[in-house]
Amino acid sequence: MRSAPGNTTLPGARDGLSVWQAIGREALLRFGLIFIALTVVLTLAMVKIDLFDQFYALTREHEDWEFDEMVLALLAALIALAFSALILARMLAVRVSEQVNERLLAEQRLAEGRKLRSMGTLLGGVSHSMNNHLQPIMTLSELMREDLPPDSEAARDLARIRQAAQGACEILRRVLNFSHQGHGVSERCDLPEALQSAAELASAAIPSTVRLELDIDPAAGQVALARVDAEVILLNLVSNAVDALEGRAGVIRIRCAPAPGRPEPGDWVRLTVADSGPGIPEAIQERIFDPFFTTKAVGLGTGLGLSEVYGLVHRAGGHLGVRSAPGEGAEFNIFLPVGHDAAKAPLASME
Amino acid sequence: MARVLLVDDDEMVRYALAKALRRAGHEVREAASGAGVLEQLRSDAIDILVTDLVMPDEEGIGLIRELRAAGEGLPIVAISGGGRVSGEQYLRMASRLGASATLAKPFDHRELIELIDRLAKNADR
Ligand SMILES: Nc1ncnc2c1ncn2[C@@H]1O[C@H](COP(=O)(O)OP(=O)(O)OP(=O)(O)O)[C@@H](O)[C@H]1O
Ligand SMILES: [Mg+2]
Repeated sequence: MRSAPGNTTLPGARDGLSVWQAIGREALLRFGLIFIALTVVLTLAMVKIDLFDQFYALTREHEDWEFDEMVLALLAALIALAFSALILARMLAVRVSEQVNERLLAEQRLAEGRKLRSMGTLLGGVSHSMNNHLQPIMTLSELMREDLPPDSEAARDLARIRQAAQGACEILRRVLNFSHQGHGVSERCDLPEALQSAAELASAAIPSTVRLELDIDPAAGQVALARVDAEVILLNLVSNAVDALEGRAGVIRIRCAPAPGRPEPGDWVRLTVADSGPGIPEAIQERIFDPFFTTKAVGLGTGLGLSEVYGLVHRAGGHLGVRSAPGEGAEFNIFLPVGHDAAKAPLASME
Repeated sequence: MARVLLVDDDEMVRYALAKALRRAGHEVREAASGAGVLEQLRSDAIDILVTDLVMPDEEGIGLIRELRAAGEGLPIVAISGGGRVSGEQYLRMASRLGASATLAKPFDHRELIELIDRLAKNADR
């Protein structure tokens, strides 16, 4: 699964990779155990097949041969040593390449997280000024309209101005969801309940060729999201899945269940939204959470849906990721801490 | 009719909201910053304060805290367009500090007018 870029810092991510770190203590222990076990087994085997006799035959001229078993044991040890060294070398190679991969991935995710955070700051600032500019546009156009005969062209144009301004407000509202600056960290909701009602909303709106399959555990718990935010998350994921199906028949599975200890110790809940669409090309998977990234035609997508999901999930202390292979649909997984109280930190830091 | 003091550093916002409030029959004073607001509240008869939360010199949050600390009990409506930290967080903080109501910009001015009518009525009782 490709994790969405995270906010968490990675301990030691920037250190060089030492060989000993890579091998690890437990690998050394395993090496020792394999070595001892092999030695014992080989010794017993050699004694059993009377290798000594054959040695004895070879060394018949030496009458005072006393350490037969010991010699065999030494031989066994040498063979065992060679074997375990081979196994260790293999293990080491696999380990190192795994760890290098892991670190590269983690560093990449960290860099992506940083990128998304600075985008959030930037867009938060932009939204602030825009909201202030929109206030007089909305208020004055409305006041002017009151002065005009309702069916005059000017009044209708003013209504259009207001409509355009409202479109801008809607975009800003979504951008704020992304940039962690929207409403409600102190709020909570019962996730299964919110999902259930959002799924009902969604099922009324999706084409009849698309089947919604719900598997929502009512005991999944409370999360640090306003109810409307939980709905925004689900509706965005479902509408993406519907879009991906492009009018073909298909299934969208919504699962919500407790996920104790995943991805970190503690109580978590996992929300999965999976579809039977064409999947997401590997090449764009790392960009789908970027604000304004869209593959849809102008007017059909703004590219804000997954950014909103990203922002809301992170604000609630959660993680998310996507798994998708071409032709096999896309699966979004969201992990949220149950009963997480994210409200205190940001407020305290403002004092 | 209520006497409203409107504090916002954005001149256009002030102009638009003041116009809407006056049209609704309220009397409006304007201020571009929070400086001097306390004095103005003492000298002029003001029923309701409407203040922006993110202003350059005196942040509205500080203003609300200061007024409440000084024992001013008048209704306060906090408005905010979001800011360095969350606009909504500012608004929540404002209500915690004693703002009577909060609105996120841009809002429908009719909402503000309704709020002011309600707050004025409550204050009368
Ligand atoms: N379930 C999915 N299957 C295939 N591709 C997807 C899926 N979900 C998202 N994508 C891809 O990710 C892109 C970004 O999605 P996002 O929801 O952020 O924006 P959008 O849907 O294009 O626009 P908006 O959500 O603002 O209407 C989409 O344009 C699409 O290419
Ligand atoms: Mg979308």
